[in-house]
Amino acid sequence: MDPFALQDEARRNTGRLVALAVLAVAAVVAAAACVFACGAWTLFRFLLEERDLAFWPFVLNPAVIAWSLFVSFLVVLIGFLVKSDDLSSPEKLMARIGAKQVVRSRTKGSDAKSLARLRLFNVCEEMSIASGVPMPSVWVLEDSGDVNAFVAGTTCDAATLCVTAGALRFLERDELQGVVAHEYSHILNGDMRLNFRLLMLVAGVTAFNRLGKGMLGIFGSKKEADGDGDSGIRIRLPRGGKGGKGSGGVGIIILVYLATALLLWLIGSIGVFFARLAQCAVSRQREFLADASAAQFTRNPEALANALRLTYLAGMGRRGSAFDAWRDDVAHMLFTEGERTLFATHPSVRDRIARLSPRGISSDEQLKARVKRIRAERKAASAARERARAEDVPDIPPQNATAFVARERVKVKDAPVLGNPESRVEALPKEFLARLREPGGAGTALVQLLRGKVPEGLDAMPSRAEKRRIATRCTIAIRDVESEPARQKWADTLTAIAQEDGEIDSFEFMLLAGARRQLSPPHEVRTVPAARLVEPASRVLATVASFGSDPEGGYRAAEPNLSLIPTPLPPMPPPYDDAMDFLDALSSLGAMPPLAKREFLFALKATVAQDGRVTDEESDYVAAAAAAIGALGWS
Amino acid sequence: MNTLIVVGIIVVALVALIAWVVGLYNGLVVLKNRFKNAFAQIDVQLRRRYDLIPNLVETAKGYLKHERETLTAVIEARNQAAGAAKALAAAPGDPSAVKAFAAAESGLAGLLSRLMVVVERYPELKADAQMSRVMEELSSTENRIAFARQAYNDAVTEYNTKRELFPTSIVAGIFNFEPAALLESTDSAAQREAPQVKF
Repeated sequence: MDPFALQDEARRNTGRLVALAVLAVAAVVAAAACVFACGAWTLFRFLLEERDLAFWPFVLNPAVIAWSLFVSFLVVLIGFLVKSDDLSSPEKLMARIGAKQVVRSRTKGSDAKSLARLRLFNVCEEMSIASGVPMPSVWVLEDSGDVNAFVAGTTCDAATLCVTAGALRFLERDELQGVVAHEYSHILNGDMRLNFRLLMLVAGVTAFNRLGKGMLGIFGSKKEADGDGDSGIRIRLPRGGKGGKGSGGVGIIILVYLATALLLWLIGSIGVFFARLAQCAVSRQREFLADASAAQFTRNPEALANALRLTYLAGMGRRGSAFDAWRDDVAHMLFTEGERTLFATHPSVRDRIARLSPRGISSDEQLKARVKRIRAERKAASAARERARAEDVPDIPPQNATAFVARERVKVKDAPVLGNPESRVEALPKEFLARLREPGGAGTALVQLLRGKVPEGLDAMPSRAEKRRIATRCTIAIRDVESEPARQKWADTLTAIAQEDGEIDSFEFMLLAGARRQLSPPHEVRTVPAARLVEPASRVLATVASFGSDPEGGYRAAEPNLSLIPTPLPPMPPPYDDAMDFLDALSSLGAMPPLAKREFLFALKATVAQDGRVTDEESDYVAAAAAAIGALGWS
Repeated sequence: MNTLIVVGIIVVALVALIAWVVGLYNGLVVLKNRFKNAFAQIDVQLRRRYDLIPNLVETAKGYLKHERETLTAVIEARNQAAGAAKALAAAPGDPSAVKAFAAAESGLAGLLSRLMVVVERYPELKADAQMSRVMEELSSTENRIAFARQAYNDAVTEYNTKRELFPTSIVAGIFNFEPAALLESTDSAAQREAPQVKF
């Protein structure tokens, strides 16, 4: 392929299409002006009773032509102004779709994420050198597993480039370079500006459509409201100087009004259709142009073709993918878009690849293997998201939970009536939650909680149930925000602080249980049949029961809830007296199958509730068990 | 009266001609500065590579206990190339300096690619986070050098074409705009052998 020839071709086609679009709009304006002029003629002739008014001399009068054209342009202008308001700042757009900016100073970390950011930043700087375009601000759309990218901003100097996290993850370096080069070509060729102008044209034409619809709408709604169309209209319409005398005047006004509205609507619709058609055709040409320019910058069309093959084969960028939430805002700017219709903003991936590479869409074994891996990974990621959503169920206050258990499952004699003062948990302040998402924020909050201080961002000391909830949130936030070494460091710090005073109280224990589960490096846990875990399970139950007023009764109260863990339970074993042993036992129960975890938690709650009251300590231990075995949703 | 009109027309024509020539001249200056800037970019990127190499060697040293000579050779070649670059900057266009520089650069590139082959043999070094960063920076630098050369050549071509096209060629002749030389592929042999950093 010759990138320069392809570029010339795309530029020529763009010129033709833009001329067509402008012609379409001009035709619409002219047609609308005709409608206005004819309307004016009818009004003059019948309402002002200038019966001898000839049609052609009136319509071809320069003043009439000028006025009707002026009104037409006014309508287009209003359409422009309304539209230009929502295409303002690219930063706002990025904020709306939830992208994060990449700056060089933030790529210093040694984890894989920082390395990927560094690579993206480097690739962008390379492309700035190759294309001579100043460095745009670079953004990453974190929660998208798709491979895609887009640019926003209407000038070369203030452009923004956004890449999805999926592109960073799944593309090789040279493929990423191809994608970034494609986006740089959009900046260099002024495609955002061109598209912006075309959108304005479309908006201008749409204004006629809207005007016509609005005129019909007023009529329709009035008619409905009054039940009698004529009376409604009569009130609204102005009477001309001599008008209103003729008995047919009102009828003619209505007719003229309706005809004008209908014609405007019709002209607007046809105009919008053609303007949109031209706009999309231009957009497709610009994509070809951007591909060709990208090939010129990187001198590596095969890498760009590979990136396209990958997105095509892995089924990314189609409707129904994770993209839908924000794609309408940026559809015309995307790297790929999976549609193939008259109104597609992108040419089909096949056509694009065909121009880039003689091999076409056919892929080699290596690519096929990668596609397979990506598909598997995306599937796993969506499953993980589901799980995370399940884990993210807010920590139900213990009395509610136990009451729930009491209603549904617990077979204790007297369902405990729980008059715990800490009833509903209030929503946490926004600033506090925002702080948790910053590196170090969640860890600091946990340290403050452990030291008995009010965490920064909160007004007052949280209640016990709230403290548990915050602790869970914080550990999950540390897991999600921090790098792996930092996670380990936080886990160590928290353990050290909890042990500072030589003993571990129930809240500290609960916090450590969560930290151990969430912050230790991920490892494969092999699920073990629950029956093999009777020994630690019963000892955990015995330990929790020992905090109640009737240990033996509490221990036995668990039994009716158990089925996967065989009952009757062995004679009550001695409770753990070392907190760390207890924690180890709880963690080992994490190997139970999910349903066994669930019933174990319910059993634990029955144990706690057996003596009719649930203390803070007991709630803490239930929460600790839930956190340690990884069943937050059921706690 | 008539002469006044003629004089007026001549003055206007002269002013227009001067404005036109100024426009052509300025256009040539812009293009010239563009390719000069592009050349400076190459220099910046080469320097970037010199700065990176000690970092690379420092990171690799812990793992490559048995490859001491390779590392020393890389450092030596780097110092030599940096020295040659300095000499070239002091005497730009001096053929012997250019030659020395090209030789030093190709020696450095050869050694770097050898080092990369060695690194391939040490999986734990490749997995090292710091090493990944240095390798990323190095491969980015290689790309930048290539792109900077490409941008320089594109800019020079544009300048030369403009310089030769009529009527700019007249202005170029009057004001002595010399043709600029492309970076030939022969002296970019060093770049073509640049280490292929793969992950």
